[in-house]
Amino acid sequence: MVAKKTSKVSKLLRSPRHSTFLLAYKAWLVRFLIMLAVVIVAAVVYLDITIRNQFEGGNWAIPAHVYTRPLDLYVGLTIAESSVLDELGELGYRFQIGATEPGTYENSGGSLTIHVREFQFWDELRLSGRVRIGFNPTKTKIVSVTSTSEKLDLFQLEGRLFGSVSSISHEDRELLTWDQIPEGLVTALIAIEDRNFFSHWGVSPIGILRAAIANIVQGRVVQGGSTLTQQLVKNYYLTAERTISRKVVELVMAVLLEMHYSKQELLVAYINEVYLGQAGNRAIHGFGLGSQFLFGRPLQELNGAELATLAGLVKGPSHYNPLKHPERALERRNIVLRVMQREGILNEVQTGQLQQLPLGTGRSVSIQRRSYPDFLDLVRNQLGNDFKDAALFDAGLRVYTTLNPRIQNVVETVISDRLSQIEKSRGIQAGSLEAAAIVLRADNGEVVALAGGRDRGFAGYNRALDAIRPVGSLLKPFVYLSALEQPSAYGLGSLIADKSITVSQKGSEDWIPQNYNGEEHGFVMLMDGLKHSYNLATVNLGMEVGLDTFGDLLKRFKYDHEGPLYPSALLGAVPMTVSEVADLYLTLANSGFKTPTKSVRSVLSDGGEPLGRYPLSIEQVAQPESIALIVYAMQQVVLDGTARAIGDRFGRAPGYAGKTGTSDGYRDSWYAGFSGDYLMVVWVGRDDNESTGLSGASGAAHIWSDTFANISTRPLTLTLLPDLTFIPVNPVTGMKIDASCLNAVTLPYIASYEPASQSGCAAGTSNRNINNTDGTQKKTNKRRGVDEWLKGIFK
Amino acid sequence: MAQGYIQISKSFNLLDQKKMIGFARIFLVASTFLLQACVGTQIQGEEVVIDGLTIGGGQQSVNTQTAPAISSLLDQSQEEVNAGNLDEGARVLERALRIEPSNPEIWHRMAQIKFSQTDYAQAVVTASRSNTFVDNNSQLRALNLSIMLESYKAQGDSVQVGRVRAQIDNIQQP
Repeated sequence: MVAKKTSKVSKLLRSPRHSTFLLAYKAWLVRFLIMLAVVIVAAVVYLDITIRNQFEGGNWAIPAHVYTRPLDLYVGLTIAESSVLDELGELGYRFQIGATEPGTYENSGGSLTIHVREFQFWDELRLSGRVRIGFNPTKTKIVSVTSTSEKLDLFQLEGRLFGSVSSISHEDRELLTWDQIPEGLVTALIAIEDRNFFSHWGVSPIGILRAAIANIVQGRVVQGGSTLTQQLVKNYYLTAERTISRKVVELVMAVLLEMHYSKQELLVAYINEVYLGQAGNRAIHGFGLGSQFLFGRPLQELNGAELATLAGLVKGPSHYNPLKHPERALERRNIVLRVMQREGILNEVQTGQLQQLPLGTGRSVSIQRRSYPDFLDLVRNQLGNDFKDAALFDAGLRVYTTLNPRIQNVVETVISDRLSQIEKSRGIQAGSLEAAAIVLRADNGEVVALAGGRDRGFAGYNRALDAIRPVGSLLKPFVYLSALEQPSAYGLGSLIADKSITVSQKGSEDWIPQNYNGEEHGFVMLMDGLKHSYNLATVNLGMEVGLDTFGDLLKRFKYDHEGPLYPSALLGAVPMTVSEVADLYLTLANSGFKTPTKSVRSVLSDGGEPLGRYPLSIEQVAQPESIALIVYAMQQVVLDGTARAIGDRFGRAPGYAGKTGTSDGYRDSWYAGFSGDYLMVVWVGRDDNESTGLSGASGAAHIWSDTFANISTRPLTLTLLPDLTFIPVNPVTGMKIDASCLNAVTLPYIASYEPASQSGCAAGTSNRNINNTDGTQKKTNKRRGVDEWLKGIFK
Repeated sequence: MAQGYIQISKSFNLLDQKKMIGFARIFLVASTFLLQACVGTQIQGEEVVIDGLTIGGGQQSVNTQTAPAISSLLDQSQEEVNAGNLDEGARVLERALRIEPSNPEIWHRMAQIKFSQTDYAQAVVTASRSNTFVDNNSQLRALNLSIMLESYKAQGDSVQVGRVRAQIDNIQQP
């Protein structure tokens, strides 16, 4: 049968017709094989070029990493030891007796020893080492700062990496070099993921076979069988699709990688590339950032159990996420530890000890994961203005910001707690109120905290930057200031009419403003008009001074409005964002010196080279004396006016100045105020713009005062400028009277612009009509003592 | 949000030596004065003349309440200035101002640096800021006014020159 068949084939082959066919077939086959070989070779060469280009060409897009402000510690600084401990906690420093390792501290008695980590500051690479901070007996003030070798005048605690800014990619990572990778991570990783890593050449046939059998037995994919090199290829070059052709490409690439690069280089790449989880829309890649994200500490400071947790995470970053599924993560970690024992890396005792350790990613480190997305929006805006080349965002810049996490945390907590409390006490639907706030350093415009809503850590609609709302009475100080800038015509004691006024406007109906309570108060001192936020007094004054004058002042102070202002602008019918209001108030808080607000101090390159910084820049837009007068009046707002609840809360100390604001129909509740060092603007309202029923005093002012009650701040003290003088004034006539008069109100005036004198103490006559003489007279006995004491505000 | 962002090049070529010599008189006199002031010494008997304004000539006590951290930063700033790194000197002063924003001496030094950088607008405004923190220390006030005077002169602003000169005269004859 076989012979027969053979002879048949031979015949066929021998026949001329078939021999031609065969020759053609052979030629075609040869050509095909050559072409196939060419295609394969070309493909391999292409893959080879691809992997080498990417592998060697500075391949990772690394977002700009954003840091909180450093904390200056120096002799004489008033700071509670607990605040420094909070700061250390956020930086992931751990208590350790003797503070022998970087990233640890020890506090005992009145002294705190910190073993600081190495950190790249703008001007220097600070090496790791120990610093001892001595506190006074009440632990509220620093009395000494010493390093191991010398006495220091001041010392900086580094900022924390809290977020990143990138152009398009949402991948984030912190690159590690071989020296920075702990051996414990490498051994754990190899034991659990690829125990033949050091002996195979990119693929492991035995591993594939073992996985295939396991998968067949189970009837589903239970094992990957991929080597670390294959995983690297998959993560690095390929998509997640599961096809045969992709698998082939993966195998080829893995072998090529192994041909070109050492095991060490491949491991470093793997450790920097691997995906380890998601934080919002930010994908956490690499063990460097993974360690920061999960444990709040650098990889080098993790113990063996924590490294095993990270190694175990590779198999399923979301399934074994220690934050969401701590039980699974713990079980997985213990499997890794047992495998390490089986491989002879750990002995039984060590394994037992490590398995006893807690996961270490619990609530206590949650603060180290805080990302302050609202503040990041501000950083993104500022950088976007100056770094036009988007590629820079992916070049691993180090961005040093002005964010003070101590204050930021207070603001976030206060907003959340206070809104809930207001909703509860006033029967407002829970969750319907929203708020936004910004806190700045009054002296240099650095933004130290920003909240764009009540949900902390939630990246969404940023109301502090984007919600534009009518500001109500927040503009009144500027109306009064535009008058006080004409000292020959106006002083704080000048009488202004709190009486009805009808303002005619071309092309629209007459405007007839009213006071909040519908009452008129006759002639009042200019200071009292602001103190009690009288609408009629403000409109009368504003119209007298002129809308153009008022508009020019706003422009000088920063508010760029287009076209002429309407009279209703005097009462704040002008929509602004929280941060725009802060710009305006910053100049008030800074004695008439305007400075740009900023959230970034400086930017360094990936290699620690200074790229650029934002130097202090100021501009004088008002005379300090005029500002001192309006700030004095704003202090009265807090002590005895619409924000007196704040004055009462702080023991009627004169250290704060501010102004409440309420928009029509109680839709927006505002408060803007400052101490000696911080300015804060707060808005409370609803996203649907419905009424909240809250005035500035009953809403936003509470958030302001809760914040200032919980942060360390200096009281506002006004320097007695040489051109300022105190004059006793009759509040009814607005004229200078003898200081011994019981009804005298002592007010600051610009020297050489004192009010005219009257004889005697009585109300007497003035150029204005006098109302309510008796009422005023009764008040003044009580007030005189207060005035004397107020005079002491000025130092 | 307008920002005064500055790009840093590796070589800090911010100091024009020729101009520096031109401004040497006021700058050096003021620096000497302030250096002494900041270490809290008492200036004895020496008479210093800045643009017709006579300061000193008697025993004058100046501010002695400078914290060690501030002294240290002022020294560090001065070292940078001496090395020609004016921008770095200003940066160190900014750090000092974060610690003591109301310290008129730091503001005055900032004015000196801005003047040396021929940034006259900032020299005037920082000197003016310094003056808002000076109580009755007419010495520092006079030094600030002299920086303002020289800046306005350099800008060719005769109106402001006249105004500031009048202020200086007022200090001389209280």
